Amino acid sequence: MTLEGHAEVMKLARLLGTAPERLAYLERLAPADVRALRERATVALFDNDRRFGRVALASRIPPAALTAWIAQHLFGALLCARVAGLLDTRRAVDLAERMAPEFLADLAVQLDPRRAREIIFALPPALIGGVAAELTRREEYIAMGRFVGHMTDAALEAAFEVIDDASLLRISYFVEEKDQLDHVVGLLATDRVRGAIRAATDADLWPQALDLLTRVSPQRAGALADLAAEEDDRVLDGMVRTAQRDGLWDVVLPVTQNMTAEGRRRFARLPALHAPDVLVALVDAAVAGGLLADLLPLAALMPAGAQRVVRERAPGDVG
Amino acid sequence: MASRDKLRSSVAVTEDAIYVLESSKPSGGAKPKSLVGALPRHTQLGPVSGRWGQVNLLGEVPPLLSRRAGVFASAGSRSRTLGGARETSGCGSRACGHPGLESRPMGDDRLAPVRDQFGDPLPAALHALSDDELTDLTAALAEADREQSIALDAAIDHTLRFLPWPLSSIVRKVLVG
Repeated sequence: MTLEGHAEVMKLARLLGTAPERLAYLERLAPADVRALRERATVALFDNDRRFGRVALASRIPPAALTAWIAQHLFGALLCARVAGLLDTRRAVDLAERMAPEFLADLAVQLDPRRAREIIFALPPALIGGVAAELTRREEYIAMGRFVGHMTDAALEAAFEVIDDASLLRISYFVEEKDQLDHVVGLLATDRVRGAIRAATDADLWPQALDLLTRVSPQRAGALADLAAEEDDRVLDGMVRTAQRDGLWDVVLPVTQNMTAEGRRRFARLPALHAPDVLVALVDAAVAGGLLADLLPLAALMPAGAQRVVRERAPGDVG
Repeated sequence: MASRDKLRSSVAVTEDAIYVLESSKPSGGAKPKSLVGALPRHTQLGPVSGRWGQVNLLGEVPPLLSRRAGVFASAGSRSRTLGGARETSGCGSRACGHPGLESRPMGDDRLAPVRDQFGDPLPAALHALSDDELTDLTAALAEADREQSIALDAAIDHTLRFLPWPLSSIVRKVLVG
């Protein structure tokens, strides 16, 4: 099981309205395959939306205030989500501005963002902030992750203001557009990133944090790791525990290559890293993953005792 | 082999796919000679306009003449059960008996029920799943589809409940068919 694969199964389960445990067998497949399956399921479930074209047309007839009332009190969120993608963008924004954030949150959970991309882009950031706050309160991290690639920078910043650090990490796990994640992380203020790193330890979210490192550029991952290296041992111990427990050293090691010399030295000197079982797992992951080029500069900065363990574990490679 | 401009395409819409067939031009698509390929069952053909509008299928294949534009609209609808010969376009009942359909590019038959629910293309990796797992996967989507349909119908009924009976039926028909 990979982190990404687990996230994909959770997203598919959410789409199908079933428990992720039911679809656990899909974790044997590559994440890209589960994602492709989810794409097919989305098409299948939303395939008949065109039949609501006349509902969309009819919604243009009453005044916007009345239509918004009908939408909220009669149509309901599911039908509105299906009709939304068929609406004229200006009309849709006009209606959304008249709806309660709670209803828009219901609607967002049911919406396929790709079918309403232009509308989402056109929504005022303050409105998106209100909906983001409601979705955060409901812990709708999967739904929020689907929207990240379809929002303007201003809307993202408005959302950041109302989402706590731990929730930011949880959402990042489900972000749909990988290539957008690097840009999105770049929009975060440094103190928010530090907050998220601390939350990783406090809320046991290092799996999500380490997954994030695999989904941003190597340079961004290195910069994030440098920020982590500035934290106290307690925070970094949480990362070591997670990497050890979940076998994620193959994720951590490449990131060290892009850290500053100071950050790498700090990490290499971390006492938790020098436990014999951790060093063994680290070396084994490096050998298995062809990551010795990442391990050696790190090992060179470790205390003599730790270096000896590394040499004993991989004598032919470390020399 | 006949040149492309002497060929005519036709389609056969079945329960699990849309098959693109190639015929000689004089036959107008009524006598398919070979199977060119298959499209996902949910592929929307068109939109087309006019009695002789054209639709390009599978890239290089010659355009299909839309003599039965009504079929194109229905081809995109998954909820409708299509009954073979009566629902085919161009080749009529001959299409279903065409030898090319035997070698339909659907891969392993184990995936046919999944394909019927999810459409094409499916990840080849699904072959790694057991029969029980494939059955469960198919059932999960079918349940989701059914629950959504019920919820959407309920939402429409809820909206129209304020209208008197004959009018609500008419409005419902106009709005969602």
